[in-house]
Amino acid sequence: MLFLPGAIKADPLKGDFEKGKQIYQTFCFACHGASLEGGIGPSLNDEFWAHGSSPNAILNTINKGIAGSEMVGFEKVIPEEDRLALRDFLLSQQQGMRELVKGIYPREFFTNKKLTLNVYESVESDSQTALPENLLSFSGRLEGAVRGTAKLFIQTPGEYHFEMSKKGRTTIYIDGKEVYYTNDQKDPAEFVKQKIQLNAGVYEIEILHEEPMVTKYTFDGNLLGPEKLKIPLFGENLFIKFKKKIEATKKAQVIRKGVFDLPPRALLCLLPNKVLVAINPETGQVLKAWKEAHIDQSPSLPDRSKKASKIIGKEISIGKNQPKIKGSYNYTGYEIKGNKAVISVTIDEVRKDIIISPKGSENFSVKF
Amino acid sequence: MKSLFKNISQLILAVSISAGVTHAKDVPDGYRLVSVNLPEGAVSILGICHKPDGTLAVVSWEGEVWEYKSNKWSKFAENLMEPAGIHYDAKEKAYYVAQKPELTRLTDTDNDGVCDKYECITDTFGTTGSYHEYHYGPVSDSLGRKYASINLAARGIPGSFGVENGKPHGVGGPNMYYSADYQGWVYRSDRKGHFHPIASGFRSPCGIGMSPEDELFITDNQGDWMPTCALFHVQEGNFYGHPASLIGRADYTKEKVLSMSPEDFDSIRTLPAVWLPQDIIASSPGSPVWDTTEGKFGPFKGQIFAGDQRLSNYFRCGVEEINGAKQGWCIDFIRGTTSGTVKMAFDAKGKLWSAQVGRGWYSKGGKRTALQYAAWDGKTVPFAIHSSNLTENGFKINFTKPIEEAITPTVKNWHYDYNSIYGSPLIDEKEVTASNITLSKDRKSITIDVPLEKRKVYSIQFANQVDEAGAALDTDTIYYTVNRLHSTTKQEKKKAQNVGWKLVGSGWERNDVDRPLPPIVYPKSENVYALPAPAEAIQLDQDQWSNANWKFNEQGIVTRSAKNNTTKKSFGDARFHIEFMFPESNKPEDQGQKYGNSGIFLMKNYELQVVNSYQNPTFADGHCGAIYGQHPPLVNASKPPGKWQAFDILMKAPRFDEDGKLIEPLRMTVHHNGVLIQDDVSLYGAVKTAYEKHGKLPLMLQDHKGSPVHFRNIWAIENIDYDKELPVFRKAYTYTPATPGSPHRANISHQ
Repeated sequence: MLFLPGAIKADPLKGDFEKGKQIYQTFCFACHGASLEGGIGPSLNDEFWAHGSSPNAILNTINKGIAGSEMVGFEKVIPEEDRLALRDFLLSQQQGMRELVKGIYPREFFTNKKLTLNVYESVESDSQTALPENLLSFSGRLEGAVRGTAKLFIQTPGEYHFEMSKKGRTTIYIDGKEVYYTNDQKDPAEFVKQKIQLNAGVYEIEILHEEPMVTKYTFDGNLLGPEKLKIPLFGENLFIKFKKKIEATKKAQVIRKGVFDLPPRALLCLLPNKVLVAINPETGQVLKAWKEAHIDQSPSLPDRSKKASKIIGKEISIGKNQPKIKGSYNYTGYEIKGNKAVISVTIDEVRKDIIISPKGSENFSVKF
Repeated sequence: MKSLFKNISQLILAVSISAGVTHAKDVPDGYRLVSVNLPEGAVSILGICHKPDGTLAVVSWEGEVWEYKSNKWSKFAENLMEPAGIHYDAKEKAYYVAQKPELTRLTDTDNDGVCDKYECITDTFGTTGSYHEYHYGPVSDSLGRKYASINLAARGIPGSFGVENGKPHGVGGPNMYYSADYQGWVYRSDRKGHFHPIASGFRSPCGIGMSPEDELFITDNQGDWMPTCALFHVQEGNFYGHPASLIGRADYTKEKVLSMSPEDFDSIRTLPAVWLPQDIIASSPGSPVWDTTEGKFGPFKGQIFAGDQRLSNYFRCGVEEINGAKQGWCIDFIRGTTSGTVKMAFDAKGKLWSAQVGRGWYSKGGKRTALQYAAWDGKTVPFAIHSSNLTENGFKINFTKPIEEAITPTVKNWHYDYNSIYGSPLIDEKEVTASNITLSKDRKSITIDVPLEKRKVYSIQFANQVDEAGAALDTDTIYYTVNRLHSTTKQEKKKAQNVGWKLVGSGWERNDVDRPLPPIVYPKSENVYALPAPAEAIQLDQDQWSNANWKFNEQGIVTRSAKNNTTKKSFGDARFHIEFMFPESNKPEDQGQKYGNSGIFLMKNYELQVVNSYQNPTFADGHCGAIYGQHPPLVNASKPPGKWQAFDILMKAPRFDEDGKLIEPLRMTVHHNGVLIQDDVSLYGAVKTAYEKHGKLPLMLQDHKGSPVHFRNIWAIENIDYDKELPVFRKAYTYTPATPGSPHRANISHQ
């Protein structure tokens, strides 16, 4: 039988919350909302922390701001003591998992074993990924034995229990103590659900999980608390779900993403030979070109900055690949024609095409 | 600092009121909320529409368009930049999306189910690419013209313009800024390459919708200069409250805007048709849609539905015309959507779909994105407050079901502050006495008498009302925005002349006296615009005209005379130049439309108004240079009586098919005294009739009551290629921006 503790004492949060709240109401609330719900800036009490949810990461964001966004650094505006108080106040407003790291471990070490922290500790992980979503999620190509490690913030003291989908093997620890366990590989399936007393503060939580080989884990669940309180533990991972890399395909592509140092309307023509040509539609001019290129948009989309996507590749010379435009110029659109990107413009009200084609394995040509 | 804390505590107060509203359940009886799985790539969906064949399309923040048909998803387009809205144009068989840099038409030219042609419809507005510079829409009117709205930018962009007034909190003052052209505006695009800004003063106009009657509505978000979320009826030329975008107008400069007080802005702003009480009805409202399902979606036929991104609800609204303006009510409807609704669409079966996002702003629903629909079971009528109307003495409230006994509701009212402080608490919130309750014969409506005040929001709460079966109301509180009261005096507003069509998408009636007058600007000097006829032109002198009453003198000047005068020659697409002058008159009767009235009738039917508009006010679409009864001039560039003025007109004749059906309306671009006053406008029809098929027709000068009008130097160039000439013609004179202050004063010289 399992030992199930009735009550676990939390690490209480420390800080001058009153002062922190005052600082919040002076400097932060116009952008982040009266109750931290977000507005101009992101919410500061939901799970998603794009720039890290650890005390140090939050302090760093307060200090330095986020380059390329409206979030300025407050290092020189607010005294250090007050910044710390602000950070502590923000932490005091959190509920649920933060600083979540997902580890994936080779499946074979767990065969016919109960999932315990000891087994995990004895095996080297395949990967460790910080999830800024702070909700555990699974990709389609999984997976081994999963381990989610996080801080668990509790605001409302009272009786809690885990309500999880009963699939595969699962063990959950709070502050190193086992509080939940299921195994559907046993016959009959083992299933132990226990009520836990939690008080306000911060805990360490470990969620261990494994399912027989499937295309994707569909495991889901919540931590349920007093007065119908529901703390989600699982969600969708934006970073996995959306296309992080835009890579060359058999057809030419024209891509519009915010890229630092390029005009916001730039047309990014990614040709099948991995050559990327950036064109300013407002002038018809080739701005830059790269070979062996792709676009990495992973930092941009869940973020709120304008620096957005990055072009990864080796810059190449534009050479003579520049349309010679004389007369009254107007941009009217583009078409994908096989391996070519055809940008249509008008010159003195007559339609003309700027045709961007791949040339060799690492160059391009412009026909106008 | 002091005012800030007051603000916070009042905000909390505002929230606590919401706790007083009682809902029987999250989803009303007879309705269900159903989730539909999204494809793997669609992470945050921001737009939704249906094709006539039943295909559903969604567009995602990440830049993809997905189609859903027969329970299967397929990707139609990708690599767009943060498109926030999608519309399917069935006539053109193409999608329109508002992506950050431009309005784009997406076409699948080779019918392989994937878009291959991306046409830029307009990119005339500015963008710096920053996060908040969202571009929402488009929606379409019945003429197929597209409308979209543009968000202001947040602070931090060099050179951007904010308006601080009152006591903003924190560092940096107000929080939304004008960083590029036409941010905070809603615009119309008639066709590829066309951009016509129509109204300013928006902050975060995320919701955009076109009613079945071709009336445009916008929802906006609480913040600076936007005391609470609101639903606006958009009327061309109006200003809706956030002053940063005023500098996009010809009659405002940064200096002028910064010299104005909140009271000044208040005097020029148009109030919303419906205030949406914060955190009760909405907090980040999305696009309004109209229940055109003819009862398939339950008992709320014709009502406006919208959702809220943060509250994760659907709410209902209704508007009515009171004393010349639209105003009305709102009430919560469905709560507990999976994520936060931004855009909605009814499908042909009467299901109300919603594209939901919980990213960027926290949504109560919790999930990052969702696609759901609400459907009615076709029989169960929930007991709900159906709607409300303003009466002369109070309100009429309609229920969906009969009631046995009418219980007097609790009525409160309040108003909102208006300044650059983020949001407003409820000001002067108080309970007002409701009396004299009466129940209608069908037992489904009650009326109450309430002391009515303008510019107040009324909450009407029926805490104990039950239906005949004893069931409680689904939601017990409705909110009515009283901007105006029923007129008790003789209505001054001139009634619309019904000419068989309305000013589609404009929000105005013909000759509407409430329509804002065109801003007054400096004209150019006469030597710039008094152009001699070029070689290819036909000089339209005496022998070219058919009415002998109109006699040209030795200087080539002709005076308006008895009966209209037409040219002997007929014209199709053409360019015209006409100079005109109103002799000075001190007669008291020579005012308004009677001070020098004539008209230039293109193709004998389409009138460019000729009247003295120098220090002689009249209704907007009767100004000199107006397409009479349709389009006021963009600006008033009039010169005083006694001075020669000129119109330069580029015109494309209307196109009809063989059956006489209109294919393309008449289009016109006009300079008045060297200033662009009509920029490629489409005409709704002739002066008083709808389009009827015709070929080339003469030019006509109108006879009209009023003081005299002289004409000279009239010439025409035939058979021009309008579309080709337009860009050059548009820039024929360098545009002079607005003059500061109020022109038409003695100290401003009109040459």
